[in-house]
Amino acid sequence: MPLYIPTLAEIVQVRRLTALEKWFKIRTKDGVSFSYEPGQFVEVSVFGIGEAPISISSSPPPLNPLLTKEGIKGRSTLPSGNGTFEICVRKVGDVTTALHSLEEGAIVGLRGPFGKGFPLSQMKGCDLLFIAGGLGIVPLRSAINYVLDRRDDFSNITILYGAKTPAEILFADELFGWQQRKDIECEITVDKPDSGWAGKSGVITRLIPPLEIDAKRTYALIVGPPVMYKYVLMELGIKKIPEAQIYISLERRMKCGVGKCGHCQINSVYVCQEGPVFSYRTLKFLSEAI
Amino acid sequence: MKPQILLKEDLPLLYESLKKKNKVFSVMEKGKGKCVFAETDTFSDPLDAYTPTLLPPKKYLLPQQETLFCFRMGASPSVEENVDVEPQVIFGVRPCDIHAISLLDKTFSLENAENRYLDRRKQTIIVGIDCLHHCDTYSFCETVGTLDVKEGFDILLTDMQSVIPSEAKESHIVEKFFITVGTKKGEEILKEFGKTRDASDAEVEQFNKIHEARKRAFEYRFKTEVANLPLVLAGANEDVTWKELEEICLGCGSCNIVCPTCYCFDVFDNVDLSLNGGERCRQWDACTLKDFAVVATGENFRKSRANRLRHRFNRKFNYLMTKYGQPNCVGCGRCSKVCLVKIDTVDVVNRLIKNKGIGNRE
Ligand SMILES: Cc1cc2nc3c(=O)[nH]c(=O)nc-3n(C[C@H](O)[C@H](O)[C@H](O)COP(=O)(O)OP(=O)(O)OC[C@H]3O[C@@H](n4cnc5c(N)ncnc54)[C@H](O)[C@@H]3O)c2cc1C
Ligand code: SF4
Ligand code: SF4
Ligand code: FES
Repeated sequence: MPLYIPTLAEIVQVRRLTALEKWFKIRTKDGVSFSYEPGQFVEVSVFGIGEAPISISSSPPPLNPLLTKEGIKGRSTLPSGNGTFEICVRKVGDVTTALHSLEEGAIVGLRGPFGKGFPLSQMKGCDLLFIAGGLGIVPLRSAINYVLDRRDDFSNITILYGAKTPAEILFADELFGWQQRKDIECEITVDKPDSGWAGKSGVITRLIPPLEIDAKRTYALIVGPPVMYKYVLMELGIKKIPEAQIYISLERRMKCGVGKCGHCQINSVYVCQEGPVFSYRTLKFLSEAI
Repeated sequence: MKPQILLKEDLPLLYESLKKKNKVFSVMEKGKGKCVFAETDTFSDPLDAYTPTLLPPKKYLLPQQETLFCFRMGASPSVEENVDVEPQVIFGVRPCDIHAISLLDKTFSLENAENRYLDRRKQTIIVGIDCLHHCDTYSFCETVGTLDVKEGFDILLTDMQSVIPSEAKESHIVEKFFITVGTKKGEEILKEFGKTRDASDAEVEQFNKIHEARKRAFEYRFKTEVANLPLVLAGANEDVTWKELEEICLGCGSCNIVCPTCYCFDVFDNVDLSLNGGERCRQWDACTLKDFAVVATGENFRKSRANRLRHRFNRKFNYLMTKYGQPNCVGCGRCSKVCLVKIDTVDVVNRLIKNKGIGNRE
């Protein structure tokens, strides 16, 4: 297997979400099939510029067609299948800026999917608490929509989302849609509200203490910037959620995605192989993790 | 194949015979005490160039920089794998470096096997040369168990005279190499060459004696058994040694670059002058460099030089050692020798052992 050679894929749809983030729908070329799990990532190439690891933001389609029918109700986007998937890219450097300049029909390189995602099937029947900070909603959205498509398989669902400002809220339509739903809880907070903001303000950790959590049957799925983890974990500790039931996705520098280049290593662990999603029980023993 | 005997005067002929079908890289002296591997036109005696080469022979299997694939840019891009493998011989590889290549073989064949490396490896013949005396003050092969080498070479030459000249009583000394044949390919090479003969029982015995006798020339340099090192390192995260090294280490990456078992790399694109296409390249990288673990948001997960050095030592004597059951250091001493500020690997390890209070060897 040529590990480093991308296949070609087409950008079939582009949408600007905020000043810094764009959403892309991508389809593999020549019907190459593409299956993935929530929490996995791909390596996207812009030839001549380079390659970057990017989380998959869509959710894989349910295998059972009945579920598809049920699931689509009350959902603002369709699950992505048949070689298509979605990503959301923040413009921060060379590759991400080049991606932002691409239009529908443009061809990119694609490797993956890589890594291990959230073990959602093991969470069946349990309460789920999703905590997303900023760009963290990108991979979590995949898990959230996956779960909503299979709503009956899970018990209580709570989504907490924090952004810096109202203008930086990602997937706002979807988030507000989730807030309307009766069968889930969704709370949004911003660090710095503006005059038009009627919702909650303050850091995301403040949303945790008021929650009623049945610790034994709750799984927490957390993705956000590195600074967020310490405080969120402290709050979840107070709620006594077992460490083995807390899942965190980590960002590290990545060059290969296949466990060779060494850049993503945390102590002895290759994040691109064993992560990016880890249980807190595993991470606790890695001195360089959080 | 039985062990073979090659007359020393025929060694250049072996070199010539290999050159017929392969590119041959051999070791030679370049300035006093400085040895290098290079492509050679004429025979260069590996016995003359004894100390570890500046860069390890790894460079012929995992080049310092190489093209992974070529691409066309524009509206309909395409990619094409870059295959640039040709038969090659690395002539005169020392036991430590043979062990290092075996470790790279593991890295690139287990979990996500990498064809690029493995194809090149398949096309590579390794002619090893045994060490009978200690090469320089920095090395510690015997300590990490890499002096004896049982595999990883196609043929291995052992000089039959160097250690016990006193036993050569006759006035006419027959100078010869004992050849251990490691692979089928090694056997074929020797058959085609045709100038070796089976070693006699006496010669096998002499070879064994030499191997036994040479051990005396090598000392064990760690203050505990090698097998204890993962434990030592795992418990040494907060060791004061790292704080002391923070003040000294330059974070220059030289120790990584000269290391035969380091394999981390960076990946980047090069664009042709025509701007129509280019190539994706990889290049050796170094975990002791400042930017190695920086992400785009500016976060650096190993900000201090001490943490990066600690990571490097853990890779050698803990993380990869635990994974593969042997140190990921072959004791060549290149890192200690190249370090401008004289950070010595054996010394660092021994300080950690001492601070842990388990130094049970003198
Ligand atoms: C598993 C995973 C999932 C991810 N998912 C997403 C996602 O869904 N969406 C998303 O937008 N991003 C995601 N990221 C982050 C994304 O990979 C990076 O933003 C991207 O690689 C940046 O590449 P670039 O070429 O645009 O930036 P670069 O040009 O490489 O650099 C960006 C910035 O970092 C600085 N920088 C770069 N290299 C160095 C260095 N060596 N030292 C110091 N500063 C440096 C540059 O100066 C620049 O300001 C993810 C990362 C990982 C590991
Ligand atoms: S140990 Fe020496 S060679 Fe290695 S990074 Fe530090 S200064 Fe450079
Ligand atoms: S760590 Fe130093 S002594 Fe060990 S193999 Fe690498 S360069 Fe040689
Ligand atoms: S990204 Fe290269 S080893 Fe993980």
